[in-house]
Amino acid sequence: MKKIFFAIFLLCLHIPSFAKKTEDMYIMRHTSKGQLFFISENIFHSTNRTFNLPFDITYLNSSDSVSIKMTVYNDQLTRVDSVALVTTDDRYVCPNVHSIYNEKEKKFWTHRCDCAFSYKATKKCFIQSTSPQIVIYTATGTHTYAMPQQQWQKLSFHLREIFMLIDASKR
Amino acid sequence: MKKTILRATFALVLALGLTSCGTVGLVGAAYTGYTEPAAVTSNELGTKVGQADAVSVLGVVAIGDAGVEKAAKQAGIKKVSHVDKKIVSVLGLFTKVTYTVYGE
Repeated sequence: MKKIFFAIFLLCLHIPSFAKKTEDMYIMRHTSKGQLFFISENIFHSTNRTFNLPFDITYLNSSDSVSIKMTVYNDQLTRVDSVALVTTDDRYVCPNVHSIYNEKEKKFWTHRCDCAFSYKATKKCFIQSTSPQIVIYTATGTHTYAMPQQQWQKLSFHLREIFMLIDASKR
Repeated sequence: MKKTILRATFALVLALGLTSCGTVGLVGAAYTGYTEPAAVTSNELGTKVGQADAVSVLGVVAIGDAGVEKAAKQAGIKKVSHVDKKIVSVLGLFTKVTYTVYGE
């Protein structure tokens, strides 16, 4: 009996990941500055540390630019100097990272920041068949994040559909 | 075996009965998934969006920070235009509440 309840408990923890639909992953709004698309938070995993990188994407069609907001976790209070989106063929760098806030959470520090990329570059990176890397450059070192391939295949399918919607909104 | 089935049935009925404990407003015994307005201000619809959520599992453990403050902070929003609330609940066993804040 205990095993059954424990199994149900574990199952419930994974319910959010079951059968995600594209329409659940983004929000589209009309604003006075154009159509706004917000892609809900996804998480990339560090390639050499235990910290993850939650990030979300906001696109505004009047400026055709993308804002990627991310939460960087670190053992020390640090500032992000620049962010790069890296694929097998391309590398796009955002040298002007805007700091939103810093906080202390239990044993580590969180730094929330915002970086801008062109829509073309973002789309090119996020529709690849393999996960792009997000590389964070700080004063204390360089940290690289990506998504496991199996997870990436599911996410990239939804992202491609969202980018199709964004492209359609431009016409 | 009969006792196990009876206990499992009792637990399921109890869980279904507790569905309203995790949600306010519309409630579906099997599945709840809807969005409703949480707050509206006279500020113009902004171009920044922030989200924050909290989850409840089996009505036993409920964790997270789904506050407007958290969601606004995530996006660097200083002027809130409006807030939406999304509730997803499966059999009352798992409930997730997400607040989406819009502003500048």
